[in-house]
Amino acid sequence: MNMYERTNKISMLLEKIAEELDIPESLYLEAKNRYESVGDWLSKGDSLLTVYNPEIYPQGSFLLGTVIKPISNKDEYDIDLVCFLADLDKSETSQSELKSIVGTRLKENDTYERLLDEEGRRCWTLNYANEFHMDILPAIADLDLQKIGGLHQDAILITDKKKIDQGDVDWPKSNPKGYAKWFFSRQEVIYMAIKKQLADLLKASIDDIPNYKVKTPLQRAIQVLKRHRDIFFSRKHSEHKPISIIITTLTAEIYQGQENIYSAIYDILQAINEDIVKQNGNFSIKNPVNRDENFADKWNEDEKLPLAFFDWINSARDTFCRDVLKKEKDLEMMDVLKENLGFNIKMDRNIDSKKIETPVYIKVNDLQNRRPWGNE
Amino acid sequence: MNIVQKQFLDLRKKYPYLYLQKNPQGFIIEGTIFIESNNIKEQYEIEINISEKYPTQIPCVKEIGGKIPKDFHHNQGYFCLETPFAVWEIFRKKETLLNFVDNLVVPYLLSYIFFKVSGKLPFGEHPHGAEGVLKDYKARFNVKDDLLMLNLLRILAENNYRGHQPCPCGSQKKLSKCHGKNIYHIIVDEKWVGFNFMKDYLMIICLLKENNVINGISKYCSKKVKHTLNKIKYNPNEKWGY
Repeated sequence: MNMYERTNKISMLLEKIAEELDIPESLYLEAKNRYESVGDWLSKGDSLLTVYNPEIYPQGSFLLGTVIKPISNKDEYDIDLVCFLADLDKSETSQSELKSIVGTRLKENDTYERLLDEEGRRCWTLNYANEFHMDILPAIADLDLQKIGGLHQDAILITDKKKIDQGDVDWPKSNPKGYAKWFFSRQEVIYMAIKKQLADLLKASIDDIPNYKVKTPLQRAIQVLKRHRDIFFSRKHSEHKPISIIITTLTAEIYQGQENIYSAIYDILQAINEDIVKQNGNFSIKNPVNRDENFADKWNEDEKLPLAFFDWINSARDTFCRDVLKKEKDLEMMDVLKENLGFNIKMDRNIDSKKIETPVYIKVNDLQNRRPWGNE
Repeated sequence: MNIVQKQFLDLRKKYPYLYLQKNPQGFIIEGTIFIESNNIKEQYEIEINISEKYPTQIPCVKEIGGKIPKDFHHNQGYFCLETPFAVWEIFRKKETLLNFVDNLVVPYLLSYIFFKVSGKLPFGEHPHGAEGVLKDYKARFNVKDDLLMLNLLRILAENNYRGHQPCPCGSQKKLSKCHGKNIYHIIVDEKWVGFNFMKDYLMIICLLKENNVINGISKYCSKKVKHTLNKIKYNPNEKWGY
């Protein structure tokens, strides 16, 4: 097997693994059902919140399509929801009031009251045992930022217990919808291409393909990298595990439309280094839709965090850019991937050889004036 | 980030099937180059060796898929891309891996494709060994006479360019107004020291002695030449810049 065939093979193995890492479709639909019910409860019927024109929408990996299985079967999937009250202005309320009106409504439902966890710093959490925990983030519009328009038009203000204790000023900012728009803009072309492929395959109209069924190499790469991180930090210093948003942001920033998952992972790992996460000597990974927010804020307070991050990046580089590339046989490649991506996922070695992609040829028609020479 | 790692990112944007590995001597880039030229499609497995001294030391390349016979312009298993001086000159214009692959490796592979189809090289080839090197210098510096060429190269070897001295061609003009014009740009090139010119020079001395153009070598291996050899820690086994 030459290098090209080898990397194609690895890419297909990773594709299979990523499918296994993803939330199963039935569970995805169940989660969707669950959060729509919660949404209905919060926003409809006799809910007091109705007057504030509420909207419940998912955020984070659930919205981005980068959810992965927890490494232990005992753990639950994370689902993050925003409970956005469109017609409530910050001048009419406070963080503590916003948090409590959402909490109160949840508690009015016997089921939800039973599932409700202790109050979180920013969210209310519903625990569906052995399935999900659902974080519900109360939010209102950030009118100052929304005026600017563009990706800011979905900017929101959220609550924070710490800020409430400090006198309930300074609303924390967030913008999950804007972030998702930015994220999808990073993979727009390939996303549409895959969607069309899928529609052709199923002989369906492109509009009938639900978005969650489309998975780009960027989304797959993030899933694989997050999994590699989970396994790496399950073995040591889990308290320094880098947060997903850092991995997602760096990966999406570096992604250039690579058409296979291996190339995407390879290029991302080659490009991540100290220089791209530093600015004026400080660690800085900016939120692409809010330049004031630094996802790596904590790295500047605790040097163990960036050290752990680069420890992990180096380990991922060893796995994907070195060890697996050295293997000639499928089984050996699989062993490397298995060791680093965990054991509780099914690994199918049967690969559809028709899926081998055609390489891009460098076209050169003009010969350059070169005359070889030899000294032997 | 190391210069090789940085340049590799740019290289991969155009050649997405190349992969970088670290090794004790520096780096190795391994992978497949797919080329299409005049409707002929070919793929080559190559390995580029990059020393720790890169970019002073120019990389060297070989094919590892067994497609290009080893008797087709190879030197110690590596591609003989061009004369050492030409390789140095092309690489020096832009010291990047992308320039190296675009303007040296790919043209070499194309030459081979052309050769396979037509039985000849598109632009011919240099004579092997010292003869090819000498001929190339003569063509570059527009000099017809072997001895004159050697005398000009001696100025480079001794690092002893004096523009007001008489030109070795016997024209009685000052060097700077005569053949000196042809070598001056090399002397002032700060990167010149990076090129293993002494290897070319010693080869040419031996050739011209064998051909009885010169009687002895002592004049051409002056104290100054020995001084240069010492200074660069000349090692005949070391490759030309590449």
